Formats: sequence, C-alpha cells, structure tokens
Amino acid sequence: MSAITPRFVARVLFLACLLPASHAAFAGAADAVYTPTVEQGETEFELRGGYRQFDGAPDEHAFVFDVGYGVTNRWRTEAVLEYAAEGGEPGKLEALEWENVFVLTEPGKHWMDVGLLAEYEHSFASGPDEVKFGPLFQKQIGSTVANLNFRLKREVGSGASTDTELDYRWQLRWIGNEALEWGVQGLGELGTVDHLGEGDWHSAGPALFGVKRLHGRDKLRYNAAVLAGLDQAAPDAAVRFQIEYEMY
Amino acid sequence: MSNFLSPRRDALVLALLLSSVASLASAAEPPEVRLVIRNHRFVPAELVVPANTKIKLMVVNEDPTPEEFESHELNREKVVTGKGTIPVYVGPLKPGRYPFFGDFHSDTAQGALIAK
Repeated sequence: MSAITPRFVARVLFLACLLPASHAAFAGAADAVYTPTVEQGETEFELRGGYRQFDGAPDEHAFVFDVGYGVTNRWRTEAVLEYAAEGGEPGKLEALEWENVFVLTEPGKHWMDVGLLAEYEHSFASGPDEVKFGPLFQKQIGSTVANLNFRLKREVGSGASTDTELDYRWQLRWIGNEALEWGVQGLGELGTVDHLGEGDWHSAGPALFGVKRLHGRDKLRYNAAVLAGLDQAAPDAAVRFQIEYEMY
Repeated sequence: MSNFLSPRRDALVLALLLSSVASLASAAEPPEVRLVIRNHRFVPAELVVPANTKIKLMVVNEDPTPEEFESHELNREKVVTGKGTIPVYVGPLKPGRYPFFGDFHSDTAQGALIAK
C-alpha cells in the first residue's frame, strides 16, 4: 500500500495550518489545468506545487493542498489551502479557497465538452479577497485530448482593485499507457479585460501524465510539466506538478 | 475602470467565453447501444459498434449496488447508481478494441467495444 494515505494527507494539511499567515500572491506558480469532468462520490486529496524563475525578479515557489468531493456527476467542490514564498524567504500561508467545478455538457455528447470553474479566495493578508471564474473546454480527437481554460479574476472587499484580469491554461494529452503519457501544457495571462494584451505573458512546455491504481479502488493521479517563457514578461522557466489521491 | 459584471467590456468577454455552450446544444443524437450490468458483469461483455461513428452507450445497471463505467482508452469514468441508467457518449472510434470495466467490481465487470 502506498505511504500516501488519507490520514497522511490530513496530517500534512493540519501542519500546514499551523504555519503563520501573511501576504503575497504567488500561488500561481502551482496553477493547474482543469478538465470539465467530475466523478460522483469521489474524495480527492491533492498536492500541487510549482517553481518559477524570473530574469531580474525574485523566484517564486508555491504549494497548494486541496480536499475535494464529487457531489454529483456534474459538480465537484473543493477546499484549497495555498502556501507560497518568494526570493528565498520563508514561505507563508497565503489564502484559503473554495473551488467548484461544474460540468455543463455531457462528456462526449457535443462537439466539445464544456464546464465552469468558480472560485472564491480568502486572503490571509489584510488585502482584498478574490473571485475567479471561467469556462473549461475539452475536445477529444482520436487519442488526443485537448483542454483549454479561461479564468476571469476580480478582487472583492476593502481595497479591491477595479480591474478584472484574464488568464488561460491549456494542455494536450495523448492517450496511451495510463501509467505514463506524454503531452504539453501552457499557461499565461492576457492582461486586464479593459486592456487585453497589455502586460500579457505566455509559457509552454512538455508534460507527463499518469495514473497508478492502488489497493481497492483508490488511485494516484499525477501530471507535471516544465514550462519555458515565450516572451519577455513570462517566467524564464517554471516547473509544476500535481498529485491527486482519489478514493471512494 | 469597471464594475465586475455590469460594464460592457466585462460582459462582452464573459459572453464570448460562454457563448460556445449555447452553440453546442444542437447536435443530433447518435446511434444508441444498450449495455447491461447484471451480477457485476457487463452483458454483453463485448459490443461491436460502427467505427468512425459517435455512439451513445446506455448503461443499464440491473444490480442494486452502484457501479462505475470506466475506460482509459475511451477517456470515460462515470458512476451509475443501483438500478440506474446513464448515457455514455464515445467516439467516433477508429477500428480497434477499446476495453472498459466496472471500477467497483473490476474482478468480474470487464468488457470491450469492438469498433469495425
């Protein structure tokens, strides 16, 4: 049996809660690509992490701990704890987030599958909270699965900016051996809605995907990518990973 | 600058992002194929379906316990409740064999689509 058990994940989450809370907003280093798919009755423990290196700016790293549940075949809800650090300084708990994925179309029924991501992020700093939402797209052609996410981000509460930011994430995955599959991932920002294209950046690179079936019906699902900046404003290089322990 | 949803630009971007949902709703229903789960087995265990055609699998669970239709090759995972029925859309498939299984009783619930 794997060493990663629900009790282990709960212990990690508890220990993470004991860390001091503070400011900063670098959890984007641990961003993931979402798919418009939900498994009813599935409990999911997730760890995401990422590291971003900039030319002329402090490096960033972040970890995200996540517990989710598939309430129906169309709705998964998750509690997310974000931890981040910058420039070699000690990391801090950054935010607690309530995340929801809604499946809007029956997978495979239409030309493209569509879902919706809706998030509310409570910052542990004195700054404003954040609302994020946007569509999730999936298209399968033969043995290639393509995903594209757009996400609108807007601060709410005292001191909130009036800007609405737009970012995106995408991936291609080639279905093969489920233990190890190849693909590519990319992510970037498109600027504010009022000034799209200003301050935008883009990155992309090779990715690995896989599923390891454990005892009973439990599964360990993972993906990881190494991303290169495609323009001056993007991180020079980034590494990200996502590990999900799925159980019923 | 703008408020969250009321200004024209925010609304326009949101509309563009979500407009594809409405445009997807007009697809014609594909051919329907019935697949039964009985005594934690798929009946029939192998289904021959037309290649290069989208298929609507109607998975009928005659058992009182839930099951999950799962196939890595078909990129599908979906729970069907006890005595329940679910649609599972697959394809168009290239000719070949596409295994599937019941994740709750994978020792017995095994099957495959044969696309010809």
